[in-house]
Amino acid sequence: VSTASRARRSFRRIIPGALITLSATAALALVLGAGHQLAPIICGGGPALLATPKLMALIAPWRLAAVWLLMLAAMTPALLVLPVRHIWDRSFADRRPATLTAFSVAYLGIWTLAGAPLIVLAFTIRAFGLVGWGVAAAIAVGWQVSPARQACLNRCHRRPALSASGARSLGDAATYGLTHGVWCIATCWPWMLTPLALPQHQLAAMAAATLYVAAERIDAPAPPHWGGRSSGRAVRTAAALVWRWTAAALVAQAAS
Amino acid sequence: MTFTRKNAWDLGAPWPPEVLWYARAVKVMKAKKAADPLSWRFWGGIHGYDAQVWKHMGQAVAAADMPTKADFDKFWIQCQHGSWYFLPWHRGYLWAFEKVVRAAMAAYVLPAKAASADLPKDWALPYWNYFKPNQANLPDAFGSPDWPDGTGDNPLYETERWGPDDNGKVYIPLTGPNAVEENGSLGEPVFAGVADGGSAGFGGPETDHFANHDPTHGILETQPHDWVHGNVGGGNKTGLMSDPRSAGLDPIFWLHHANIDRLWEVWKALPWAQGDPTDPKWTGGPAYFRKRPFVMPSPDGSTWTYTPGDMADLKSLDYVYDDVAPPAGLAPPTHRLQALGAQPDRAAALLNEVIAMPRTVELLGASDVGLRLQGGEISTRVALQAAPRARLAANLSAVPDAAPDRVFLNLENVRAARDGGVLTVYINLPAGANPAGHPELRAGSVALFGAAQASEPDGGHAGEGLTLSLEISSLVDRLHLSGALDAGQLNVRVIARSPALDDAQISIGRIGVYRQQG
Repeated sequence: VSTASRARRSFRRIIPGALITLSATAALALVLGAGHQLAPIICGGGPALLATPKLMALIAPWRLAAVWLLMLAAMTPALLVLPVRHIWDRSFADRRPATLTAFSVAYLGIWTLAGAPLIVLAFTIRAFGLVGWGVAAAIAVGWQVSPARQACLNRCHRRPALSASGARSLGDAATYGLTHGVWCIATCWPWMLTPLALPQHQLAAMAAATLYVAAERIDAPAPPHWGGRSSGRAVRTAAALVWRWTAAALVAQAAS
Repeated sequence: MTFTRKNAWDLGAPWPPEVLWYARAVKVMKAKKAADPLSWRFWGGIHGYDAQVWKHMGQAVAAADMPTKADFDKFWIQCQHGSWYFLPWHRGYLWAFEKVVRAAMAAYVLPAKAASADLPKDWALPYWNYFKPNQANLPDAFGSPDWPDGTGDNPLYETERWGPDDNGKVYIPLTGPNAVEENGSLGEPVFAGVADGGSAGFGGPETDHFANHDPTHGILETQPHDWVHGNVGGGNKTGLMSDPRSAGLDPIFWLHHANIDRLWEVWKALPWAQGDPTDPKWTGGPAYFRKRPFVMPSPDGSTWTYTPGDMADLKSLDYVYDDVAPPAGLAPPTHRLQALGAQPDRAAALLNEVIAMPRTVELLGASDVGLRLQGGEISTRVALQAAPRARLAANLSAVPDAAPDRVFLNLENVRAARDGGVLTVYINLPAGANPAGHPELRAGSVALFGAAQASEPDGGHAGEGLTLSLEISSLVDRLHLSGALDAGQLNVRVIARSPALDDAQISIGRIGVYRQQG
């Protein structure tokens, strides 16, 4: 078996691990940044932030972009195991970097477009304190248990036919990234918005939200109806994942 | 007591006691309301359910007769397809069903005028081995509307059972372009596959969830399982067996699945078979991932919970099959290696190398996307990319010094408005040639069992259809040896069994050809 073959095989197997590592790295950057340059956005809040010119100056576009991209990098990779594997499997080996890039750019692009209104909304909610957050959370829960949300979640499981050659392969991968992003946004916007809109403990809330949506995504599509069919199971799955990772880490530590 | 499952045809035609008592039990079960966990419809619902499909098949259940929500959520719509859980889930389903049938037999009250026959205490589900000579026809007791005494409510008879020619004559074609084959799956050495374009494995692709209907079926599931469903249910007419949501309602379903379960045992006894997985992700089943467990109702009102690991050894289940001998003419996988030039000893060594080798799959060629069958068929070109084609050619030429790649053709994202279709695939068939005259160019056939459900946007596949895999290694070997691979493309022709399938709206997202090492 050639070295290249081993590498190809091993990469497909480690796609989940690679994406989770990316997520953890971005989360670490957010944690570190929260204490420094990114603090006004992650942890800042209240009407003063919007009203004070000095603070407004702190919300430079680069800071917004950095926070948003880091949030995406922390919260979405675990949701992309299925599409990344799909593109990997359905692409020629030498086209994989290009098709995966096309998918990622489109996916991040549509999420970034959605980011501007979500961040403004989050700051507005912060301005109203816990009451504002409570109202937002209630709306989020309403969406969470709606059949429309389950229909969107179902569409996150799509694995479309993809052209293999030429510009069409890039176009199909980008279209996949775009549509996957749209259904992802429709499904997960409350899980991005409500942690960011919290007056404090935003990063902890983001971590919990990430775990929940990742666990929820493992479930197969289901007929849409009121009730949040998969919520309880997702929470149990998330808890089980945390327990397994912790146990594995403890075992590894003990062994070393 | 160890029960023995026997060949239904060998029990003696047309009404051996085992079949007669099965019919009596089915009658008892059919008389119960669907809400009753020991009723016929409850057991059909455990496999699959869709109100519209059942209504269409004349099996509608009134809302008042449906199971409670708790029972529905716990027991119904459990069947595992497109997964390495396919075989163990169905084994448990049959095992629990047998117990319910025995209880129903005990409850049966013989009519005064009925010929007396003792209740067989050792009754076990018979199996229908359609591959055995002269046994391809539906066993007689299932095809007659009458009981042995001529009265006409034989519960084994089913009108929604149209057969391969859509005329109600049910048989399994064993020759010709649409032949159902026994040997293809048994040649696969490895149980677990991957849904990545390569081998889907004898038992199905590895899955980490409750795989009610995953898109890529395992090799045994594809062939003969899916095909028999399609041939019994019908082609253009969709019968109970054509669709997984209604299949469990047909009494012949259970004899078909007993044969599939038997083939699992046949495979395990083959010298090249690597046995069942020992990975806890398989032995533990979906419950290992904190997903819905496999559960069945028992006659005493309790619930039986099981895992794939519980199903691996028949000894623990107290039943055996009367015949698990390999079929005559079964070619070992080393035959392919010998055809490529390896001596028998070297071929055996190469096979072991292949099994031990890390598994690598890469796309070799692909068609355009968005193919729709018109007039029952479609022809398209699969362009082979130069680099992987060169790797494949070099690899095939290296036999016997190195193990050869395997090659798989995948019909990806196959959608249909209804189940029942069978697609046969030919490679490099000359223009205008009669396909039946070129069996050497036939890549194989696939049945669209579950395609309609897989095409629903809110179904288990998010509307993306099935991905149907065929191994074409031997065919590609011949193309390689004749130099035809150098053309850099394969001309693929997909032909539906019945030409009048336009209303089935069969489409293929893409045809992909993959090479697999290991």
